[in-house]
Amino acid sequence: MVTLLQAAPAPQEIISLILRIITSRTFLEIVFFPGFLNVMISAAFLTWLERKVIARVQLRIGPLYAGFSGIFQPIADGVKLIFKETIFPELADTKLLMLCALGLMMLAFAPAVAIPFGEGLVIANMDVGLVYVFAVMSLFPSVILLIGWGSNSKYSLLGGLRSLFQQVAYEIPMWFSVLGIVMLTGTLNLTKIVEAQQRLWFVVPQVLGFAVFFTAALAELERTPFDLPEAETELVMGWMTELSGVPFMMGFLAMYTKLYVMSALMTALFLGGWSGPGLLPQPVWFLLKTFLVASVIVVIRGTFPRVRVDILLRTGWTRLLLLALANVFVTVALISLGLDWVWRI
Amino acid sequence: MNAANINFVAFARYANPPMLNGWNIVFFSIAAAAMEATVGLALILVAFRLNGTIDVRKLNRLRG
Amino acid sequence: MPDIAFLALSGLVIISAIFALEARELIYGAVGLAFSLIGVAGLFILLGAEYVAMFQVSVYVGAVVVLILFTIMLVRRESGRILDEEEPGRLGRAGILVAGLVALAVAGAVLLLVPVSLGAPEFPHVSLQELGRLLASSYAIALVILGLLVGATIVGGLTLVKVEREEKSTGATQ
Repeated sequence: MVTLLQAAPAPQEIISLILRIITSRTFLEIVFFPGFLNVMISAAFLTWLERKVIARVQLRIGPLYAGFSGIFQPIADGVKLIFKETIFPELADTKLLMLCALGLMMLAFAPAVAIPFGEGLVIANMDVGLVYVFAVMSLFPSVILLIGWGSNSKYSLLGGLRSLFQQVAYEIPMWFSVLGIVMLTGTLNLTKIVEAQQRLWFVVPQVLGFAVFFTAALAELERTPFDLPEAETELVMGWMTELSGVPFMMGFLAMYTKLYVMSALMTALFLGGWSGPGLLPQPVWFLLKTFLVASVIVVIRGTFPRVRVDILLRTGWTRLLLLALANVFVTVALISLGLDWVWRI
Repeated sequence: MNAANINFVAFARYANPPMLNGWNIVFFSIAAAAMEATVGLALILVAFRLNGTIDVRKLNRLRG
Repeated sequence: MPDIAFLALSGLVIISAIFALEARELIYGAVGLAFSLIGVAGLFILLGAEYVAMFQVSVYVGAVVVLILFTIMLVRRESGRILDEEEPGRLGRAGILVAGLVALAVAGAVLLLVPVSLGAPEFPHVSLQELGRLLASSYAIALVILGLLVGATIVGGLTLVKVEREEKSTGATQ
């Protein structure tokens, strides 16, 4: 015990330590850009973007009154949800639901830690960055299942189960579709993968991989045409049915955060990350591409009908997997033709 | 099984140079454990379907 | 600094495991298991084996825990309430928890007081390509056998849970 007390730092050292941590680059990165604030603001912006784009696709206008062209609508929504009373069903597991809603929010933000938003603008430059992102995404189904179960309601449980099946089924094609990229660059480090695309973006040789990844991402995000867990005419709101107020806001924001993070991941993996003609700073290019991908996903939501659940699962387990394997063969062909010098810097 | 895995990784790391064999063994260990869990859970499902309960005190048909 | 992280992660692993064993509901047990496994993954990261940690998270927590949760939900009904009948066992459970905490406190005291140098040699960067090469060369046979094992498990599991549909007596429309 004496040693422990002697090792405790004096108060003024603690204050200077805290000051040093706050002004350190890593902390700034985590809180501001490309960290917490960036993801939060982008997720809120994406809710506005989605409502506007879908409205235009459906020949209406969308949010109009909160600020210029409804740009403050997400803030209005957030304020409303915070003031809403948090009602849970009587037999629902309140602790579990709150814990899982919070966990969902944290999980949705977690992959953004490894994604490079610019040269050197990455919070954690992990050598296993790609596997880390996929490992975190494999945790989503269990949390959603717990929310569906803890709500103690048939709609939620069915929605949670459907979401679980869907996300688990499409995880494997997603893993396989990036196998081609890993073979071409020989690294799992996301920064190095972006750097390797300086001459030619991966979307060109890996068209199949991109298509499979895009489809699997749509399924992981539970967006149309795969949004059965949220099918409004069938399951009310799926696994989010019994959430209200702040937990609902966390679940809702978690979905849009996931959308942003997946779009950023697709940009980093396939669309060249932050590379672009040097007119604008690199993070701006990255954000432009990310929002372009997110807009495409939103437009798809407005245009495609919903896929039936058994076709959905069958596609995930069989057809997409075959396409991803075909992509691997294409990549092997490319390597054996000796063309992989293009991506080795 | 987790403790054994931690042991493997720890020994692999403290060797000089760090041996990757420890990592490999742990891969197979985790994968085998996952397989074990799968089969075990399938067995539980079948037991439930046949007996209507998985209360182990009632599952004593092998006796006598 | 690594000492605190090590203590915190070990604490997470042990306390989650105890919570998982003593939880009233099976679902809480599965959640405790998930936290315990995440703690083990954190320990792997501390030991410098990041790839193994990610593997552990995605396979154990991402798949096995999901399986367990799913099975619990399918076989619920009365089975989830077994522990309720043994309320007098509360003293024993509290005893186990206290023993676990005491063990943790002793370990922590030992680590912090006794000048044990956990000084590990500086971790040379292990390249993943080396790991891949090792997997493909020395462990190739084991890898193939693992693949066959996975296939056998899937086929066996599916066969076990297959529901036999009775033959339709009049298959007129088929």
